Amino acid sequence: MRPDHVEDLLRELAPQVLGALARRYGHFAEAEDAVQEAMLSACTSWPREGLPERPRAWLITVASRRLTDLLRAEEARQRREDGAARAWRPPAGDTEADDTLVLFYLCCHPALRPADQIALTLRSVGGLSTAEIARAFLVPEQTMAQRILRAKRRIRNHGEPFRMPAATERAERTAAVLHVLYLIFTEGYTSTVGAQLYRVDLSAEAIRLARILRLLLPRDSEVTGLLALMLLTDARRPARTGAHGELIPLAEQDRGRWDTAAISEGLALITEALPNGPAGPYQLQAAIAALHDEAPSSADTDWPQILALYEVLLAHADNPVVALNHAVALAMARGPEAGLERLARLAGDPRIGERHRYHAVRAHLLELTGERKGAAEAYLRAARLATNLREQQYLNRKAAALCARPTLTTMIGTVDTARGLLLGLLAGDCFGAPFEGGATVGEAAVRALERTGEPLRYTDDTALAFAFAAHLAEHGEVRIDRLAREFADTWRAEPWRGYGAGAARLFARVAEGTPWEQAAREQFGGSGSYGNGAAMRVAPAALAARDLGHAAELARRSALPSHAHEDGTLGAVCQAGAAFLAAHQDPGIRLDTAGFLGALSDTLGSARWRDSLERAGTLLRAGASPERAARELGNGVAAPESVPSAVYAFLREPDDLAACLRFAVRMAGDTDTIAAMAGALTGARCGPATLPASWRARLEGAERAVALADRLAVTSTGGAR
Amino acid sequence: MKYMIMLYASQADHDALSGRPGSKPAWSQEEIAALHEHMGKIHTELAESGELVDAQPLAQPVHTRRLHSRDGVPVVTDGPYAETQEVLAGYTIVDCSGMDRATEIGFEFASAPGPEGATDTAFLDIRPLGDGQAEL
Repeated sequence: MRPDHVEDLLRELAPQVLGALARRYGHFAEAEDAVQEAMLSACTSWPREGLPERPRAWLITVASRRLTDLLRAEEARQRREDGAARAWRPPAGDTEADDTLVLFYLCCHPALRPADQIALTLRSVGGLSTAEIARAFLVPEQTMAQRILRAKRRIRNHGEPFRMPAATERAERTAAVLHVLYLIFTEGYTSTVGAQLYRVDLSAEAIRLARILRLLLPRDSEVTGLLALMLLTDARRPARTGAHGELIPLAEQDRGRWDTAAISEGLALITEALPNGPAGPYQLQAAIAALHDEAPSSADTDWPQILALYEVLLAHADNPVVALNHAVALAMARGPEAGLERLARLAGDPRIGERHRYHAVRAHLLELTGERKGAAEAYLRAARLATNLREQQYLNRKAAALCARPTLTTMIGTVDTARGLLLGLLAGDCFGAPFEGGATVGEAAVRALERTGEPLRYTDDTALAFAFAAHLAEHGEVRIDRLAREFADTWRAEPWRGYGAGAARLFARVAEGTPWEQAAREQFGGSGSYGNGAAMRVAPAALAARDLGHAAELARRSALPSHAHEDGTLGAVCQAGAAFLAAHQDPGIRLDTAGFLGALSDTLGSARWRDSLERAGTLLRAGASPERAARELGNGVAAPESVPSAVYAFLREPDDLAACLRFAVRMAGDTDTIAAMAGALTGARCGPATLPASWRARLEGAERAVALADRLAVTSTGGAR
Repeated sequence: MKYMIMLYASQADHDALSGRPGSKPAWSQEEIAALHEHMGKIHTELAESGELVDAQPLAQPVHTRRLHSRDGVPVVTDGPYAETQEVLAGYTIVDCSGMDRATEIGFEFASAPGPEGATDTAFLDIRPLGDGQAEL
């Protein structure tokens, strides 16, 4: 016989043996010790010598012998002390099957504190060792042993006989047992501390005990209700936490991961229990859990029915947690305002008003009404009040996601954003240009350039970006024919700014009068350009865009005169979207990089670009160096090989323009364009303040950048549309 | 001999760990999982080697309540720490062969993974527990 089989069998027999002993001899406390010792001896001898023919009888015999010893010693002591022999209690005469039930009642005796009831139930009925229970509750073994000892002493002092409570007390005593089992279950369900390997699974133990109780009280609908509630709740456990242990709320859980067997069993039980007269609180909660478990999604949940059930539940007891859930149901069934109104009535309740759960619910409902600021504040408040790190992380994530500014509100913010964007672009171009085409760029080389103090010239990137900024400031939108001509004029005015051969050819043809549609289409043997030229100049679109979708549309239209290939266009959409997102998030709040990349991917709607941005996210989490990022994301002149790299450099250094540019330049390759794009993003987020004055002084075109930025800032607040 | 290994960190460190917006760069889910795994591994090993006595993390410092007495009158202060003040964040009590072994265990804690610079201001102290017997 394998040791774990022996253990299972022993745990099943433990309450029966203890029940038999306590019924026969009384003296619950001593009987409990005797059974523990008998089990210990079985644990060592059974696996070695094989299972006795009648294991239960074996245990009762060994335990009785031990109990007799214990009582004799106790009696001798008593006799010495007061000379009075203590009579053994007569057997109570109940049937043997009821022994376990009596044991349940005794362990959950109303004279005991809940913590003691739990400990005693797990040991006497559950057959767990003191050490196991101690580990499950993360307390020292000695503390748990003391709890059990104290509980047993209280029962003895109370003079409680080992027999069935009177019929008049029965309902109340059963309720106490159910409450203890419920507490054991929730301790197991909500705990996230400690290595699971190392701890007894308290939820599973509570379910096992509830099953035993149901066998003993098959006609008690509340017992059935509690078992159903446990099964229906536990069924969601696999979906409740993410890959890294983070909490996932019900609405966002992957319902495919729920345990369907547990759900069917729970549904069958609650269906059986409900028709038996008025439903008690456990049946009501199970019925609510069933409605959640049956729904294919949060939106498809029968909220009106859940609301009705919470109303019945509230009539049972004035419980603030139930009231909180009632508010949620109200919000889901009748709208968030109704839920918030209900919550307001709970605010003054000292039992709940300052608990993190109250503020988390309030935050969620405010979010549903569109009150982003109030919601973010409430999430932060909830996170401050929470003591569980996982919950804090969840609440802080929610707050961070809400902190993005939906619109530019102040003039100062807009001017700073616009100046930062254009100066960042210009500075990236100027500092990147001397390194263009290098296979690697060392840290020392970047520092050397910083030290020289010589003036730095801008290239085609800035020239075209300025042209585009001026166009947007003038028109507030993209007029393609005109923009194509303006780009061509920009080239013709200063063809020495470092244009690529393809771009020069294109602009020359447009300048000669070839329609841009034709010229762009015929680039690169008819495939159109997928270079990063449309992306490098596009950032000012973020300053004229109303929303992310509008930024993408402006980018697409601005790419048309030169970039007919899809990747050329997507490069522009990616950079404009990134600039829009960078410009519209509060720089005082830490950037949510995952959320940023997610929003950007959604805007692009291209699987290949999404993969690329996902790779950037992975590198970010790994803290990858510029060299490694360049190897994996690229540093070439094609848009897919440079735009994600620029986004990466920005996400690495979103709050410091100088640091961002140093990082981008070290990615080597097409350094001026990658640094220009990255600089535009960081500049849009944090403004021009983090660009060192000594750098700024060296930039050709800095004054033009500021003048254009100020014109665009007026446009974007609606002044000159 | 018993030693208490005390880990110190500030509310600001805690905020970064829990991803509070506006704090120092937040930890990613992977980094948090790696930290938990690292700590779990150390404690499992300590339990297996029989050296673990007790270990507990403390909730964020803002939940602190301080009691002291002013002119003989008890005074209660809530959350008395500054944001960046390092305070006890958790402890592990070990029963091991000596200070050198306790220091070795301390080094394992100190090598916990995390984002760059996140634990720059954190530190840990190792102190022997007072020996009640010897003092009598």
